[in-house]
Amino acid sequence: MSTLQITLNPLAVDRLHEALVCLSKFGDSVTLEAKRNKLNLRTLNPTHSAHIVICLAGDTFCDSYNFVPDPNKLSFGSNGGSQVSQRVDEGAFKCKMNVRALLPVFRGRYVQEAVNKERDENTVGGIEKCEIVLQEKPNKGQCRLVVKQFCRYGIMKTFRLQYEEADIIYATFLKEWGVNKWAIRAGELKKWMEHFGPKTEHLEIAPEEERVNFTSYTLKIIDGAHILKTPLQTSIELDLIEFNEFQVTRDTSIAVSVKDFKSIVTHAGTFEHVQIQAAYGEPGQPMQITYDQNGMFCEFTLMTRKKGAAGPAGKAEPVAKIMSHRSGIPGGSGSVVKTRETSVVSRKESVTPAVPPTASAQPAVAGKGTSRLGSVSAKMPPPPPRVTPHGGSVSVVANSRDSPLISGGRQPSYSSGLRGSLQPRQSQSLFIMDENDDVFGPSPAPAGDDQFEALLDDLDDEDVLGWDASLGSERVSFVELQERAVNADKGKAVAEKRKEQQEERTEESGSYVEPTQRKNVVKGLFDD
Amino acid sequence: MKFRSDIHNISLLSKVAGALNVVGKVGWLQLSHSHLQLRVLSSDSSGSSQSQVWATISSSSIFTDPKISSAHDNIINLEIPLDTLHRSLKSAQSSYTSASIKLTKKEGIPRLSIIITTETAASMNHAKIVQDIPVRVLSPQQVAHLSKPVVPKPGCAVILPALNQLKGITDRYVKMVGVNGRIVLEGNKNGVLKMKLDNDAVKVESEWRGLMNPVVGEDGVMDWEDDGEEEEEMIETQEKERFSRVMVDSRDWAKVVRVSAAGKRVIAWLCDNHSLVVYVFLDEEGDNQATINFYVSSMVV
Repeated sequence: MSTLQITLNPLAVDRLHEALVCLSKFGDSVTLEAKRNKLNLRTLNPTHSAHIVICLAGDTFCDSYNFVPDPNKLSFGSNGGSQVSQRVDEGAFKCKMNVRALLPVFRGRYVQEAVNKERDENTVGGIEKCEIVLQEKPNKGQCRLVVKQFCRYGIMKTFRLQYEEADIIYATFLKEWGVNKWAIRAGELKKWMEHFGPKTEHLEIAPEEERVNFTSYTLKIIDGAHILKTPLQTSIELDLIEFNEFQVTRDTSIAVSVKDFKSIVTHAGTFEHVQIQAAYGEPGQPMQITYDQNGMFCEFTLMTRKKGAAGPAGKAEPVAKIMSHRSGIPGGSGSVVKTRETSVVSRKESVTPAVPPTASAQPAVAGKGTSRLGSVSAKMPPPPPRVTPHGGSVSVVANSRDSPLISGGRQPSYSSGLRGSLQPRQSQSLFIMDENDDVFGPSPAPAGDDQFEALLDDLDDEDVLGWDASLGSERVSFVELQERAVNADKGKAVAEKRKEQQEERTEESGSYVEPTQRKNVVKGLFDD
Repeated sequence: MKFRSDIHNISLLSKVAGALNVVGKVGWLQLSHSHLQLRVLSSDSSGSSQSQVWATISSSSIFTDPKISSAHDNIINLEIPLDTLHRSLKSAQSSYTSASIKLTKKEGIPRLSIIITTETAASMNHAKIVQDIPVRVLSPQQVAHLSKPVVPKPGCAVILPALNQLKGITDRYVKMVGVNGRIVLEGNKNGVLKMKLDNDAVKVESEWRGLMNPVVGEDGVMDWEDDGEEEEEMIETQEKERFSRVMVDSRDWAKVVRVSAAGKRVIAWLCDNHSLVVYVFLDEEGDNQATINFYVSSMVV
């Protein structure tokens, strides 16, 4: 049985609630992952285009934090203290809960409405202390997460929350993807984002000389009858001076979901003086947004797209679908990785060999990890049949759903739906007439339309998401490869884990996070 | 067809758009040299009640130096989604240094673009915000049949009581009577306004006294059918006590009250068993620079 005891002060409860609110905007469930020194809250959105990790540091966020892994799950439990202490991830407790069930538990009603967010505890009414205790009694069928809120006047509120066993889903963000970076104060950005209407779908972030353009656009094709339902198109042009840092390669413009971006910025805006850092590569590679304050580390990995990379109108974006796929590159090439891995690993996965899944579930290897693990992967055994994770219904469903698209239907699906996807500048040159032009007059339209079509064609050609979605049988999940490798050579795995520890530190220091697949491996190994 | 102008009063335009957004989703916007007119039909589809809202703002109270031209007397008629219009104005109204509006076409869709420049807090640099609102251009034929309703001379004109108080009471009435209930309004020339509801379960009546009765016609150009001169002698006490009565849908009345909240001064005209007309003055001075007229037909008892 794992032991988990957390004590939070009222302010932390409030912040935890805000974090949960943010998570609830992305998905219905949140996965709790308790480690020796921190608690991770993770959510993957249903289209798998956004992954969120909010990490609560045991020492700085929590008043007290105590996690003792289940000794039964520690395979190296007898190997001496020093080694054990290094294996931070070992025996991590993982569970999944409905985020909506958690929200009311931590709701700010215990805390005075955020009149002012001063760190003064006097402003915080009602609740005085919050205790979270894990009661894991599988034999008696009583597994509960117990949250106790100690309120004023001796009132104690106890919530016994059910949870289910969960698999941890990680998002990969390779360091070298983050060639484009910017940082801005969250408050500023939040103010700008308020101008964007609720119905717009995509947000393009395009640098120009000395300026940055945030433009919302839709890919829906609006026919004549519903022209008025076209979402408000908003464009904000900011001076680079507004940014604390701005290093973006020329002409790298990417698009993300407005709703996701707004949710992130709104959450970041609840902190004082937080700086949002964004890092991304080319369109089609993920974007990572991070910020942290007072022991809460937030990391969002969002799928990006090229402006104009459209799916059929009104449907879920293919980006998201592809993302949900266990993507990767050909094993060993380690070069052009335009994929993002969202892999699901469960303990059972490594234990139970299972039926080979559909072709689409054939995963591949993420690039950087491969190169860094060169020696290990070189010795990797042939890829095993893909295991269906016991609790990993998410990935299974997603894969089966996505398979047709991944396996070649991709390009055609983009061929339509580009109507609303012109870049504003281009469209301006085409359609915004000078004062002397009669915008709605008969003359200018035909020529414009021709150009427009030509432009659409161009976009069609360019419209290649950088996903390597091929499903060759030689591809195998990076995770699996590692599992194999590690199983084959445990000594290497230990070395691996040291590296990982370093990464852990990097993660907590708030900079980008290395691909975290290897944690899975370690877990898979030691949980066996 | 061309339209562009600087806007010097975003908040007024925003207020009108917000008020009319209460009534319906899509508005008819008419732009001309002299005025801006926005009209909304109540989105009630059941047909049990009819209401119309007309907002008229003089061009000069919003626009600076408007340039407008069209093949039809330089009048432009557009259909515009009110929530989008309101939203795009609201986010900018608090902090803008300059704003302009123009009719454009982007991606094949005609749009009313609102361009706002604002100073950023951090660097005092200018940031530019462009909001493109989709619109549909209406031909003169499409709007030819639209005109303000003609109402009989009101039996009573009364300045509505404090609107926040009225709103609180109205909300409770609506709760009691339901959305399609009937609310009776009675007013006389002695400054009394009564609000009543009477259904199977409950009977409630509120009465305000000492309200002002403005002279009909004093506050604006209002069209009514003139049915004789006998009115002149009706200033007798008995006549002043006589109540004019209208019965309106509870939801319509709730909308009237919400729209009225945008105004500085609100006058209700009770046209006996015919209609309720509410005149909302948005300006402090109560002149006719910016007004909203809300017409609700009275239900037949």
